Amino acid sequence: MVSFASALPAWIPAWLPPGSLLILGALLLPLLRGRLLQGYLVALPVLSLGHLLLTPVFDPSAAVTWSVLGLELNPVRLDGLSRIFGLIFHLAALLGMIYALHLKSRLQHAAALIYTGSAIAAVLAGDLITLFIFWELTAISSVFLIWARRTSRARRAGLRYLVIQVASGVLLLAGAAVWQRATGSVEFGAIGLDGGGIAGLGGWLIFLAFGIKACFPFLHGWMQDAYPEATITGTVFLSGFTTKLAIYALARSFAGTDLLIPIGALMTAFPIFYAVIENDLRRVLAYSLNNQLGFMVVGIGIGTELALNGAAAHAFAHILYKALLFMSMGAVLLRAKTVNGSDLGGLYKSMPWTCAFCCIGAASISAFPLFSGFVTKSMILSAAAKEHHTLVYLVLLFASAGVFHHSGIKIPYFAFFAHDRGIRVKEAPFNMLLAMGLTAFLCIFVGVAPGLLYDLLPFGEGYHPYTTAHVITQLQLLLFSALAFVFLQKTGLYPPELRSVNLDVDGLYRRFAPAVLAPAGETLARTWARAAAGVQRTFSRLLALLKELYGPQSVLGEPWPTGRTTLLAALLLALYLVLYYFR
Amino acid sequence: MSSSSHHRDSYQRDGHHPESLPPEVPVDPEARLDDGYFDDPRRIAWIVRGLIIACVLLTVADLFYDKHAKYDFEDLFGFFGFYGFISCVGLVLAASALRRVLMRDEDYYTRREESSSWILGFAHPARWRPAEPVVEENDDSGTSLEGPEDPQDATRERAW
Repeated sequence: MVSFASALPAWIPAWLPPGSLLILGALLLPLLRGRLLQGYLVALPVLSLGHLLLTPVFDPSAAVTWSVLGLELNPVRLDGLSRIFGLIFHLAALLGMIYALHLKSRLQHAAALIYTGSAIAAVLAGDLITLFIFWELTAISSVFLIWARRTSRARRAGLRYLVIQVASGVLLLAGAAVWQRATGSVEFGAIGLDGGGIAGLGGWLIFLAFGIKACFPFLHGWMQDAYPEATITGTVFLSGFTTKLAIYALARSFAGTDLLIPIGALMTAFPIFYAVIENDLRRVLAYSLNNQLGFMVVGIGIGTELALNGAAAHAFAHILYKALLFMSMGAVLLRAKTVNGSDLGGLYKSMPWTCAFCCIGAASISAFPLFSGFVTKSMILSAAAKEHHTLVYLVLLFASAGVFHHSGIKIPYFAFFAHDRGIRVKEAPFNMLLAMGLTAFLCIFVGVAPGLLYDLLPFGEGYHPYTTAHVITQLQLLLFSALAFVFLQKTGLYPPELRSVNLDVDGLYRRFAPAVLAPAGETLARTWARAAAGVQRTFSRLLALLKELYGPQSVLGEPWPTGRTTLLAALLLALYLVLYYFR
Repeated sequence: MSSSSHHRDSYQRDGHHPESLPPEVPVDPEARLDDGYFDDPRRIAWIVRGLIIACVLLTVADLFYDKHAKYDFEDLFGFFGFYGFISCVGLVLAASALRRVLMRDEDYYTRREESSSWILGFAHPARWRPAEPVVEENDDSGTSLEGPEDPQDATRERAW
């Protein structure tokens, strides 16, 4: 275990969560340009990382606690679990910033800074209210990384993304309110689903809020919908934070929840079918991102120390290699103007460095020995086998083979090899290559020297990935999968890359619901309009009647001569006299 | 629907997309397509042979170490290789079959979403108006305070 800092220097306020430096730093962007801006963008994550490293471990007796409206808030809580996520989020922010340095758009830089900063602050939140605030801030800031693409597709996808992200936040707030009512505390700690009555309701609401961001099956549509529509650099940021924040939140509050095991197993398996037939290679990566989240969710569901360590370690490795893959596909999109598998091929001739880095990312996600995925994913698989989840273990093995198939082979093969279509482009810009190179180095470094990563894990249980059995069985699994790819290609059974759309759950709200609801809405609106017209007609008739009686042309409304008025007054007085006489 | 299924058939028959690359893709018409390292079929053949040899060696290696298996089936000779191969072939064949159910035209969503009368997939409120405007019997003539009505005003108000 790596030790924590003992105390924060006096000049840093203890209530300031790490990550807020990035959020506040975004405010200065309008003043900077050129080299100064680039230096600033790299310096901010480094300074913020320093802030995190100086933050001491959470101590309930000495920590800053705010009492707001009778709620106990802990803005900063650092422990083993939040530290590893805070660290990798900083690394991802730094690498993403380097990747985005060529951009002139300060809008995107600002959105990325606020997004990464709020994700870091959310991870360090000690209570559900602080978590909610930064949870929403990640949603609101990140949508600009999608909208900055400035296409009508991106605008619509961003709007759908925002609606769903905010819905997750609303569920979280509702859950927190119910949970506070039931338990009297808003601490962001173990919650679970076993609570009876109102506490159970709060638990389920929070579970659902986390599940949306973690892309549980049938709640996942937003991710495959929106991430491939974001900007080239935006997708790199998006891939790292939102979903892993949800993974962290699940590990914090729902560790050992049995329901997560089948959910996670389903998540590892079904997206890979989509990944095989998807044409947009960044969307393929989004599906494989969903599949990788499944491994972490299974780990959290198993809930043993080994499994939770595995989930945290896998999140760490996953953020790096997934960012690397999105970076390489982003570079392809920048240069070749398309990431459709049906349009690409032969790019290794024009973009050899990008190709090499992509292959390193592909080897890492496929969990080849000596690459980062191997040392982390095997922890989850071992934990599943150890706890005798036989079926889940087999599903995870299947998903491991499948992830190699669609991410490890399909991505590099169709982008850089396959048929040369004569696309000749420049290599990616230097800052992109630098970011990819650094990320690729980290992927290999974690794979070769896993001990350093294991030291950062929340639970001090050692793990040895490099046993003979592990290495050989994993190589068997992977190389035979490669053989299957060759076999399917040679026999022509492999499905060709086609320009197409595959129906997924987002179709429910993009086509099905409108198809059902829109006619219903139109009928309702039409009925309403008819009813309103009827009421209007009745009123106008009433008005006409009144006009007839009292209007200027009516008997009562016409002007009277003075004589007739006098006569009427005399008659009234006479009547009064008569009545007075009989009194 | 008929056009999309027609497209799908032609996709599957031809095995490739009938259209050419999008115009913005920087294709060099002069580029040589046969001078790359992997353009030589003999080199590809050697790579495939190397892969097969590696697979055979890895399978044979099963005889020489202890798997520390947690399950009996893991101890079966060549289990992981067999499982990986079957998984991938099954995955791809199943996914290809799923295409028949799931695949739609590329503009399946956009052709509807990009038309201006739809917002987020829902009909624009302008489309909620009654199909035919409600015609009002003109029986209140002569009772109006304002004199002759502007007929356009009346339809504008009653159209909603």
